[in-house]
Amino acid sequence: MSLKVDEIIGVVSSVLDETQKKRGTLIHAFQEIQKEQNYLPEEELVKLSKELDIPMSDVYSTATFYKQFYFTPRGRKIVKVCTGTACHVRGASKVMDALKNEFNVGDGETTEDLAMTLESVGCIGCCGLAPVATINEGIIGEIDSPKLSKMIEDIKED
Amino acid sequence: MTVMDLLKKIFLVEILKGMAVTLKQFFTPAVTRQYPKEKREPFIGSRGLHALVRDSNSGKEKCVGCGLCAAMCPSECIHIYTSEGDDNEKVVDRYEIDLLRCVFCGLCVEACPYAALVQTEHFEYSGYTRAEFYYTKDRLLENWDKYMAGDKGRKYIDLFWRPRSSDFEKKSKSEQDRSKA
Amino acid sequence: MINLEINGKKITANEGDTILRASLNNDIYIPNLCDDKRLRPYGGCRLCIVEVEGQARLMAACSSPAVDGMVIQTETPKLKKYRQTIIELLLVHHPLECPECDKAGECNLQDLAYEYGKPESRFIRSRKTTKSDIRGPLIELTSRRCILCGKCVRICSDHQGRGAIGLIGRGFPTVVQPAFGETLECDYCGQCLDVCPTGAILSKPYKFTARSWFLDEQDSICPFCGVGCTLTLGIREGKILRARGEQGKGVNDGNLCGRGRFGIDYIYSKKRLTTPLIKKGEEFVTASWEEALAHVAKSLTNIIKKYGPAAVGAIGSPRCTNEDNFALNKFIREVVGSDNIESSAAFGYEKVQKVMTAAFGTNNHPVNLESPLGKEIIFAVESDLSVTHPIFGLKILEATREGSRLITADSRETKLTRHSADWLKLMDGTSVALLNGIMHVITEDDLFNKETVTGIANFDTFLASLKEYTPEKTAELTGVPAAKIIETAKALAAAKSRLITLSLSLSENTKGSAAIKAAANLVNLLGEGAESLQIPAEYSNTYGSYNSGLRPDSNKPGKGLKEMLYDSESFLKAIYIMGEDPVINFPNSTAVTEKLKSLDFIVVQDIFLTATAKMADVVFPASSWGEKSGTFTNASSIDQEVLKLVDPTGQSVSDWMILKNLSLTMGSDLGIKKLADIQHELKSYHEKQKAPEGVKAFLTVHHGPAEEIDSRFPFKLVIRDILQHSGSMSTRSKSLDLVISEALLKLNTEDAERLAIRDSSHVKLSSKNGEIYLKAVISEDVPMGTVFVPSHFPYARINTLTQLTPEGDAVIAGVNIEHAGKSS
Repeated sequence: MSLKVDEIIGVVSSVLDETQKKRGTLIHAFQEIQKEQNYLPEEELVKLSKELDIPMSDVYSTATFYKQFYFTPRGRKIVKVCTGTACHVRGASKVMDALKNEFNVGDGETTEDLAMTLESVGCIGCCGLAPVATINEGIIGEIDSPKLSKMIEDIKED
Repeated sequence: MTVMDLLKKIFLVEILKGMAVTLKQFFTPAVTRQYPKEKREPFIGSRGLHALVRDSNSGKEKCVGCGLCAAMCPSECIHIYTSEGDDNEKVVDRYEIDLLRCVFCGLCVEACPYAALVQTEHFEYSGYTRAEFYYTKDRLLENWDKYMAGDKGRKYIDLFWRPRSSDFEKKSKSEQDRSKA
Repeated sequence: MINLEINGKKITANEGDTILRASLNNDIYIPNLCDDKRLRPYGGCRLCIVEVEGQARLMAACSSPAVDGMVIQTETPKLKKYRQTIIELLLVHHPLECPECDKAGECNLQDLAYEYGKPESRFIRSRKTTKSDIRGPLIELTSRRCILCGKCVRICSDHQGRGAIGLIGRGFPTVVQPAFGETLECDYCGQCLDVCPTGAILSKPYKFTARSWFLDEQDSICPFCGVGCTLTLGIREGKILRARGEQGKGVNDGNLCGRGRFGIDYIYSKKRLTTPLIKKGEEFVTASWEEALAHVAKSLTNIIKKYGPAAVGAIGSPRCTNEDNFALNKFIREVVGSDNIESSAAFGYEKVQKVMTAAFGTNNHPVNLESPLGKEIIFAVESDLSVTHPIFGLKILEATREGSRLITADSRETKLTRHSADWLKLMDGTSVALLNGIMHVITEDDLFNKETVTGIANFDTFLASLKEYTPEKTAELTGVPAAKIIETAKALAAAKSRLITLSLSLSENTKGSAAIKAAANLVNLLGEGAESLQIPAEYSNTYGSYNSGLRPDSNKPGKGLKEMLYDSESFLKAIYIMGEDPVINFPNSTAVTEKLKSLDFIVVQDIFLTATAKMADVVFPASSWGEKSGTFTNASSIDQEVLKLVDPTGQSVSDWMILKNLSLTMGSDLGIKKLADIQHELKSYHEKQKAPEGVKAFLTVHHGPAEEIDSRFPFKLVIRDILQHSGSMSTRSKSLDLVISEALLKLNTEDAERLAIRDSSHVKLSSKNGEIYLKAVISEDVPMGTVFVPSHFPYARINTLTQLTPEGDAVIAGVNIEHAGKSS
């Protein structure tokens, strides 16, 4: 993995010293790793720490600060169930429970075969469609039991 | 000297007055007690021999060895030695009170944050050696069994141990209103 | 200087100081939890808020610079209310377990909560209940008590340059932990213990042993390295329970390394000597002091009568106080009448002094612990100062943070190489070649100081000697690319100020007096004075013992260690060894053992029954550091008092007292009645020693290859010091033993594969001097063909393999490695 430090920060690099440049690339590096591997594997972080000469604790500390980085492998399909106010009122917890029971996973967990990851999220910004869930990028709104069954089928098919 | 004074002297008036008082006391009931034949029930909370509270659940001492009693003790007669137990918890290895140095001020009991140390009502003890007055942890726990058995200990702590954890609990709104009214 | 007013008091402060620093310097206390003067402002706890006239907002004193003319209030009802709320918020999740927490009584959070807090909280509490992380050997992390001030994380990465722990996570669940929640593996300096304002980081050896108010705290000087840090020792009922650093005290100003903080429990080792021992046949028999002293007196007198006083020698100790060493000096010179006396400094620090005197013409060379600060370039030559002298190493790191350019030449990755701008990765034992190569470039390019070199002797011969060290040749010898050598030389020459630093220890074998000579030449060539070459003395009193007469007088026929222990000619019949273990610590221990066996009479006075003591005829139990008073002179020539804090172990007696008693038994009075007598005499002795200054000179040196590596012994054996230990004394410490207790042989992966040696298997190591058995670990750190062993561990007997050169240096030995089980 090559890190083009100066390209990323461009002109700013001239006013930053070497350590600051290295630190500045951390998050970009995490994103790159996660794009490729779907999560941040320990070996990659150790390599990164060596490469950038930043203590491992510092690298890990930065990574754990952001909710977008994951340290365990994630499923191929990421199911996010909105638990915002509107969705909550319209029965998001029932959707959540159904999915939990169906796939035998908890909130934030991944199935053993890495098929799916179930997550609860705050408002995703389409309260009009409550209760809402997303599978990867696709949005499913106004979930009722037929829609839920279809959703489960969708998730199951690869 | 007047004639009156002279007469008083002759007829021993002063002495008779005194004898009258004596005679009056003769018929009033006595306030003294014939200790040790006659014993008096001590008041609850009187500061006698120390005892370490035995926790009824674990059967061990309640003391965690925080050392506040020893820190407060004006005569520095409390010695506490702690160490790490098998489960990495704090274990009180030795808890010793040198009673010959104790002044029975009760500050140790007052300082204890866990109600783990009390003073019993027992105050009569004697011994032939100094060692007999050096109370170890086991002897102090025995004191609890001996002198504070049953309800007595609980009552003592309820009455005299402050502040209790319930003192910190916030009163509910209705309670506050009631107390205002 | 700027003027400001705090709470109506007019004060002056340095420009650039924060308000907090300015007021603390003027004894005005502002509550704070996350500030430390060694760290950059952080502004985490917000307790240091102050009111500044003309400012609508409250300002955090720790992160606002003081400005001329400021009028500041630090204690107003408004501030009190704010602080109360902050404390209330800090305590929402903090468990109320002060009675069980070791920090209670000296806990900043507890103190502030007591001062500002109110008994009732307006917040619903859910106290943190996570369990303590007790997996590490010396440090316990209890994240439930943590208030996330980040002081530990910052001191570890910013100040110590380690970065072992981080704030992991975000929000309430944040914990201070090593990466991936692994077991804490760090330098174990314990600086985080001292800075933690709560009980979140605590010392494991001290755990639950005493509440802080039971401790009687006294300051003494650390018994390990030459920096001479002040330890604040917590003593309870005659036992030292812990050590901590206190800011504003001593040369270390509150900084400590793990050895000083945890290692002092060696004095409570179960193996301490408690009674005098006399050898009867093959066995030791316990004896009374009178008996033992009489036995020694009689035997020594007989030997003096028979062979003359010159048949008796003595070895002093850099671990003993100046007074002890001076008493030995007086004993051997006045009572015995011999002049044969030296200490282990002969293989270490004495060489430094001799070379420095020859090169700079001056007599004493204390280091300046502050010297790295403000230098443009710091050049560390094949030494990890952060291992040998951790607090001096911290100064180097501090200098790099302030902009100094650190160049290290080292074979392995060390803390200094990690923090250096340039790392010249040389092969072990080639620093002389590297320095000569650098000087070759400097002289070739005419970059040296022409004005000053003319006044320095031997310039022409020196110049000629450099001829062969062309960058290409040097690159070949050292493994450092030629371009890097040229770059370093030019950088060194161009710098406005520079510091060349290295360390020389008794047990390491990668550099000797030649390296110091080369470094001194470089300093002279660049026109700098002796102060640009900083080589700290090794042990707590190496500097002091050297100056207390532990060396043969130049104008008398006295013999040093080399003649006494290594010469085949046997003039020596008896030896008196105080606090030293030549069999383990001196190079080529086979020769030393043979020599000691040939002697008629050996007296050892030590705190442990060392390998040497086992060979003695009489062993005297000496009281250790902490059990006797005296002075240590640290590497920067500061005499510091060492206190008697606890009672001596068993029947042990101070070293000087043993010598005094022995002298009395031998019918002579040393002129010593009490400690003050020695100190008085020592003072006049020191005054006499000050010799006039000589001339500067270049000392020609050449790269001498290590002991020959041939087909029989194909591996280079490199011995160096490790951070957790100092000499062999610290291996007796229970705490330090928990971290590293084994002399592990580090072996390159490929070499191991070739020899079919598996990780953690036992191997036989042999050189032409002898053989030893060690456990091998496979590591990427060591280059092919080299094996690395730490010194320190007596059981390993590494010195069985080493060799002493005629110059008195231990050099890299050629060794062979085999499976332990294989019969050869």
